[in-house]
Amino acid sequence: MSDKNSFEKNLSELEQVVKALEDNEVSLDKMIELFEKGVGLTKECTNALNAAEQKITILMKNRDNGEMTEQPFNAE
Amino acid sequence: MIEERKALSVTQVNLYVKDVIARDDILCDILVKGELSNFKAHSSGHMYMSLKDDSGVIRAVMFRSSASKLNFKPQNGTKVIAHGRIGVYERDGQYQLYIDDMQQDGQGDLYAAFEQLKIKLAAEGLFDPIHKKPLPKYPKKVGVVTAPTGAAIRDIINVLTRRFSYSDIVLYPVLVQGENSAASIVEAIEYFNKSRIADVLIVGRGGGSIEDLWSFNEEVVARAIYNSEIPIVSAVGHEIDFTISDFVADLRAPTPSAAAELVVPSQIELAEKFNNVYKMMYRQALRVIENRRLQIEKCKDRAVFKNPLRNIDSDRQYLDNLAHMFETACKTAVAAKRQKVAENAAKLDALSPLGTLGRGYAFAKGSSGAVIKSISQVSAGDRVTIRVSDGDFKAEVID
Repeated sequence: MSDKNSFEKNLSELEQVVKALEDNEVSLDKMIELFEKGVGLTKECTNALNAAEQKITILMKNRDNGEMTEQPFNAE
Repeated sequence: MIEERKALSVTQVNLYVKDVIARDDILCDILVKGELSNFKAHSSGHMYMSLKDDSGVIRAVMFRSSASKLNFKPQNGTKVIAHGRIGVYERDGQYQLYIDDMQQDGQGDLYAAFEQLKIKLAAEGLFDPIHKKPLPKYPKKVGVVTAPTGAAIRDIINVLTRRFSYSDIVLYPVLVQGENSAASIVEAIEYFNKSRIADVLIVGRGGGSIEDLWSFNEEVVARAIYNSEIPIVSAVGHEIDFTISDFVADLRAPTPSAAAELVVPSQIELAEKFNNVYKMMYRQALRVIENRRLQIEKCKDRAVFKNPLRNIDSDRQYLDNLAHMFETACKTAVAAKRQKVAENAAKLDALSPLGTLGRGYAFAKGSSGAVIKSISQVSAGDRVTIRVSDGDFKAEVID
């Protein structure tokens, strides 16, 4: 779940960076800092998407204790 | 008497009756229960039939647009509940039922039960938009509550895999029809809410008859969906099937595939978006640099940078002026002093004893060198010096 936070966090940070960049009065130093940050975030988001290995599982009830466990699932 | 009054044409009468009926609130939105007879499916797609009960019969028609959505095959003897309006067919002077929806009146009056529950839950506010939760934009894990076999789960997995590989999928297998199906769907929704292993849920099944879909019209399922803190997308049957679950869910999807489309973004569109964001940032960075460059250009145009020596030149001139003024002032002051010295010299000259000597006066000095101003200072025989204008000489005091 922490993974999800990082992706969403990166995205919302990216949105903030873009917003800040839209201010034409931003100082040159700040602009360069924002730009570098933005490029880094874009890369991280893209990488997160590309690297994602989708897991497909099915919940199975343990006959003895009734607990649910996730097991790989193949729909075919 | 007959001659005195104006006779109406048959058509006028029929039109008048049609108009009267059309203005009746009950007749224009009516549910009718009966058995089908004289059923005829025309090649045009329209259906013609009669509805009858023990003591009466009413003609009915269902046009293609509505007939094509029927989820059962009507035939003579089928007991149905039909929804529509009563209208007049002028040509025959017949009133008939124009059906826009029809359900089989099977076990326990399902259609009526559906309507009743819908009204009850709507009154309780279970369908209110205010209770609809927004779906997460990028769910890390999508929970699916449906049967482990069949088209629904396959379609959902296909779409999720193709569209957004970032989201994991976890299936809670349930019965989607039959006696225990409602309880099993409720259990699944409650499990996800307890374990919190998914960010969004798809609850549904593929198409079927109204009986097949019935568990999604059960009150316990509706309440479980309503109570879920995890957002739920309902996906029951086909586009035309509406269940109570659809009304309670945070979002209704027309089919299971559509539900999958709704819960995740398109990876391709997202990649495109990142690309656009990158381009936009790049353009914006260039714009900021260009703005700064323009500001520098503007500064360069200002006088101080165009002719930086101009100020120095004028300062130098000022300095020169000052120097000149100072010199003049000095000269004037010196001349004045000189004048004063000359004047004083003349005055001094006038007072000098030497001037007096020039006029023939003389004075005498004793041997000590002191000027003799009194006779008491000398005695006979003293030698004194006499000073005249052009020198001095010695003399002896005789008396």
